[in-house]
Amino acid sequence: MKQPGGYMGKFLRVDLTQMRVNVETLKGEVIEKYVGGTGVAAKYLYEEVPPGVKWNDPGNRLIFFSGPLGATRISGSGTFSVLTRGPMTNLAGSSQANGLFGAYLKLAGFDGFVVQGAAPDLVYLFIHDGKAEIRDARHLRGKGTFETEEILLPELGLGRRGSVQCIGPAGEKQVRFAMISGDGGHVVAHNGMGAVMGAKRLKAVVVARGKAEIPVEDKAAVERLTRELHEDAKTKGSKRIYEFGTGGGFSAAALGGWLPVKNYTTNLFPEHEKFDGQYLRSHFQMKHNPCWACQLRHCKICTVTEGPYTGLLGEEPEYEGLATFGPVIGNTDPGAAVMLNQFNDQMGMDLNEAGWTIGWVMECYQKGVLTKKDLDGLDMTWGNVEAVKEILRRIAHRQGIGDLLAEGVKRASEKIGGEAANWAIYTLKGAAPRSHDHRSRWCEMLDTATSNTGTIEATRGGVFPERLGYPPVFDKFSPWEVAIINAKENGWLQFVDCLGICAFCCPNRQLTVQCTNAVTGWDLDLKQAATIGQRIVNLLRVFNFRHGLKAELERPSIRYGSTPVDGPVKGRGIGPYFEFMARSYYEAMGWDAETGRPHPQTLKALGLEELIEQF
Amino acid sequence: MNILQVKLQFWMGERLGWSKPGPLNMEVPIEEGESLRSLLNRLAGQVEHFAEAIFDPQTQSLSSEATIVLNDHVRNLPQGLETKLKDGDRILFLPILAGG
Repeated sequence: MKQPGGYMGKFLRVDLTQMRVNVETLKGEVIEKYVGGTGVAAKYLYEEVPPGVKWNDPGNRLIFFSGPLGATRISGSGTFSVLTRGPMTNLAGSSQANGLFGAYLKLAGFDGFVVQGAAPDLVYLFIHDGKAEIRDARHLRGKGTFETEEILLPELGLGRRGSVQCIGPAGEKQVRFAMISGDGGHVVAHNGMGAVMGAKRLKAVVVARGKAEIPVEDKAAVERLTRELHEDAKTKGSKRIYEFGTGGGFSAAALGGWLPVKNYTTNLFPEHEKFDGQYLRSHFQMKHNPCWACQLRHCKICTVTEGPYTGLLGEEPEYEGLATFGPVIGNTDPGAAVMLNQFNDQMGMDLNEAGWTIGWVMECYQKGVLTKKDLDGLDMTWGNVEAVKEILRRIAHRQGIGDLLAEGVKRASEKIGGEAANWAIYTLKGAAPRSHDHRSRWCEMLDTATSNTGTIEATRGGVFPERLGYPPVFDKFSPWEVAIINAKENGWLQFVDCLGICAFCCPNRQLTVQCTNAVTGWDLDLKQAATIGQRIVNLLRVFNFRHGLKAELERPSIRYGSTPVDGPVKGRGIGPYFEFMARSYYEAMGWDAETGRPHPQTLKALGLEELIEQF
Repeated sequence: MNILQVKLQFWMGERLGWSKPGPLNMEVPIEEGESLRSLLNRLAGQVEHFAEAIFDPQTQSLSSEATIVLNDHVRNLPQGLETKLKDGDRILFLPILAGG
């Protein structure tokens, strides 16, 4: 079988117990069935992590893969996927990051790598020129993520020719929601990827940009489609992101009721305009920090120009950083949000989970359930950003109250108990949602609760059925529409996550599939692409059932599913309809309406008949 | 004779070719008892890119990428399209953004 374009045909097997790295072949039949990125990683996760292997066992896998579009000159093709059994849900975790890493990995000669075992002490992996070594990382112990990059790149003589993905103190201390960060703040955040990396005592992975040639089937078509895909993203699907970053949706979120404010206790945040990307980009100083080949260039470094943090240099927070370190914690100063975003990333934690945990603590403090004495003397009044910084530090180091909070908001609130346990925002699977108020985004609440990855799976803020040739959404609050459209949409985003490309750079689905065909030599259409994505969804779902998933866990917590008391969606409660929506969604996905288990015929239709008897 | 007007605010003004900071603001006249649907149909014919970005008069449907807020409340659609407008009503057009 001729290897399709876009692949190096090899991946690394990194055994940290044996302190050994081998090269393995990425077989054609694996590529054909699972494509790359999330798909290929999901296949190895399923096959190599059986039930009974806990997230922090050496037998767990931490799997990194780029995809066929990785390291081409298509805009944003430095993205990679990481999969594992995640600590927040104890089920599959799948997360993606942009930057340079995925591209550099391909240029070093590899499509991905699988990490297994646990090193005797802290190590890092160095991948370069078609080989890899495990090296001593004890001198990096306790260092933040940015610090680690700043040490390793000059130490290895790499500069911008190197890309680092690493953990901070939170990962080393196995904070449940620790994340992996690299290339100046591109993060693999969800479901505790950093904690798994810390359990393996793997501090960092460094890749040196090599000179491997990325095979491409039709170079002229790829060149043409690269221009068309980018032009479409820049002028249509991602126009606002191109001009104002993801923060460009902040005011819209506030006015539309999907900005999360003070742990969902209100939907009102009159200060929203100062957090919006339009304001930040016209008031703070900005400098490009682009990902591989990215022409959208929405990622920036900024210098704060007003307020108590004037002069601070940090990443321009994405929308979620602005929301988490702004309204979720009651902070009205955008400069402080930049400071906290930077600090949190340095510590190496998923800011979504960190924000919901701290927001819950602040509500408990406001209501007298937690006192200064309980909180190591910290005054956790809404908006006290220095106290938030200190509590982030304590969580990252598991010090004092930080040790409890490092378990995430579900576990921490259950431990405190009483009425306060009802104020925490999470899905019953164990992970918290993204930093939106999903009570006005029903599609995303349903998706977050039923996803097989620990975060969104089918939706990206909304659903866009027109892009699949379906009629548009008529009513975003119809239980019928939300359930059915989520099911219709599910598959596309998982296909994109196989490709090694940033989802912001490819909103046009037809052009994305054409790009894939031009690189690989395949002849996929939109339906076939979505089917590949559905295959991955179902593979992860069977994995999750083998690892203890039950349908009753796919529900929102009491506060998450509550009814807004004010704001643009005041009184509109999802509660009475959620059960109906979940059951309808299951049915539309080809799963049992009661249990959520995939039917045998669904698995067979997706080429997964070998899984039928396995759960 | 009183002229009835509604205030429009587009937080997705870049989709209509608006390139300055802040939302695109407009005031437009309405007929007595005019519905939101009627206004949207008129705007589709008068404002460049409106039909493509926000409301398609041919299918009578709002784009999945837009949300309408009338007087600080998100409107349920399609029944919300029949809402009768009043003088001074404020209508926001919001983009659906993914976060990130």
